[in-house]
Parts: sequence; structure tokens; C-alpha cells
Amino acid sequence: MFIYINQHAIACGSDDTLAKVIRAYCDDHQLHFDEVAVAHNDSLVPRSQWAQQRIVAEQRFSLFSAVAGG
Amino acid sequence: MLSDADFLRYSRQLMLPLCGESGIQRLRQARVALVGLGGLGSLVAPYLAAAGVGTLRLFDHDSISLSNLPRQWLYQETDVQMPKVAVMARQLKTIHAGLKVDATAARVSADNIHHLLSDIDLIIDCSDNMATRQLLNRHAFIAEVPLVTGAAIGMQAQGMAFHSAHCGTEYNAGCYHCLYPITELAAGSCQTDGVLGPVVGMAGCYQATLALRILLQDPAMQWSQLWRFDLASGHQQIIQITQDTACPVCAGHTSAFS
Repeated sequence: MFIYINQHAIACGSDDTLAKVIRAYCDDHQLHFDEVAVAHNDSLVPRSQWAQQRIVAEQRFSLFSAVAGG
Repeated sequence: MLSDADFLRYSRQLMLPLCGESGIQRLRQARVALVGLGGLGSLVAPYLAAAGVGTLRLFDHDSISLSNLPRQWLYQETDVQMPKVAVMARQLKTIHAGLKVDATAARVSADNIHHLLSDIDLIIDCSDNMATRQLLNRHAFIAEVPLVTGAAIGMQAQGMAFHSAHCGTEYNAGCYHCLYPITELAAGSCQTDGVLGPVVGMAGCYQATLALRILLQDPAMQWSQLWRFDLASGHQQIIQITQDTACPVCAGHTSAFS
């Protein structure tokens, strides 16, 4: 099945957690896993939920990095 | 009571239903702490001074460098190596002579934050590092003071506001730590990744707008909403920052962060 992160189609297994998918996406895009946040339907998915959250086919996520510059 | 000069000066703000005469009085009585006078703070401070905020408490331990000038344009070439707080205080008084400015050339830390940020109506985070951002978030939550946070890097601008009174699962709203549960970044500072002046200016303008809406008690204020703006693509997004039930700041959990 596929989900979408920042409009990129990502092939996933049915047992994959959100944490696993995000880590793979970060590795592929040279992003720091510890420094990204994820939203679904314009609502934050808290980091503590990632390890338990099973993904569902066709889900669409926004992923973005923390910014601290000022 | 507003004077004739006040009515003239603030006429465009007075027209707004959000403001009115009582709004000008609210701004005049407001005490705002502004932490960081870089690209964000050097825009937010003059906007608040010009709008009629009565007291600004400024904090920055840094001096003006030549590399600041392309985006921190309130500082001038002749100000290089001068303390930012001193130059900013001087500039703000030229914008609004009646403004009360407290300028402190110090880094806000866990040791001094309770002293430096006491008796404040609003905290504005214009800092440039994650540790200070987390410190301000925690203090604002405990002190029950609203917090406006902004940041920029590259072509990305972000802004948001939090209030402990509007935080929790019943509001579907969390705090800054719920969004970014980290105390430092491996990358992502203006020093390492660069930034365009107007991009950080955009984030600063958003912060100043949020700050004025809070001080004017805007009933439509949206708390715990992240505004993201990619100025390269023009794409914007509003994200509801839901509470992380494991958050050590707003959800009452203790962890290594505390």
C-alpha cells in the first residue's frame, strides 16, 4: 500500500508504524529524525504516538523540520 | 483618556473594531517582554512601540555585527559592535518618546528567568536557539503568560502563539514542546543555513500581529496554531498543535526535560 508524505508516494507494509515510515523518509531526504514534526489533516501528530500508530493506505502527511533561527 | 494628538496618531488603529479607544488604552498599559533582538526582534519591537505599547522589556546579550545589517536594518553601520539592547532602546524612543523601555544586556537563562520575566503581560520569543525557546515556553506555561514564538531559516518562516489557559486535550491544543520536543538542533540556524532578510521579516511581522491581537484581546485569537510559510513556493499551512499527552510541560509529565 501507499501513503503520502509531502506528496511523495511511499510504499509501506500493513504492519508499519508511523515512526518507521518517518525514519525511512528522513533517511532518504537527509533530514534529522529527531527534529521533524508531522501533521495529518492539518493537525499535529504528537511524537509520542508515532511508535504505536499504524498507518492506513492513502493517508497523507505533512512533514517539516523545526526552525529556530531568529 | 486619549488626547487629541492620540486620536490623530492612532486614527487608523482606532478604526478597527478590534481596537477602538479602549484598545489603545490596553496597549498603553501593556508590559511586553521581548527576548532576542535579531532579525525577528528588531522588527517586532518597533512595530509594538509604534502601535502604542506602553512598556517593552528587551533582552539580548549580543552586540551588532556587520553580518546582521542585511536583515536587521534598524541598526546602522555606525552601530556595529554596540550592544543591541542599547541601540534598540535608543531607536524605539525616537519612534515613541512616551514608551518605557527596560533594556537588559543579558542572556535569559534558567537562573534568571523568573526575575527577568516577572510582572509581564506577554512574552515574545525572538531568540535564535532551541534551548531558549524551550525555556521560554516552560516559563510562560507555568507563569500563565501568553507566548508568541516565531522563527525563520532559508526561505521558511514560522509563527505561533500559546496560552496555558487555552491548552489541553479539551482545547485540542498543546504547547511549543508538543510541537518540537527537543532542546537543540543539529542544523537550522541562520548562521549555518542562511536566511533572506524579508523571510525573517515575514515571521517577525506575523509575531507582531499576533502580539497586538493578544494585547487587544481579540476574541477570534487562535491559540496553538502553527503558521508555516515557504516563501520560495508561496505555500502556506496552518497546523493545529494538538497536545502530546506525554508532554512534560503542558501535560504534567516529568521527564529528562525537567
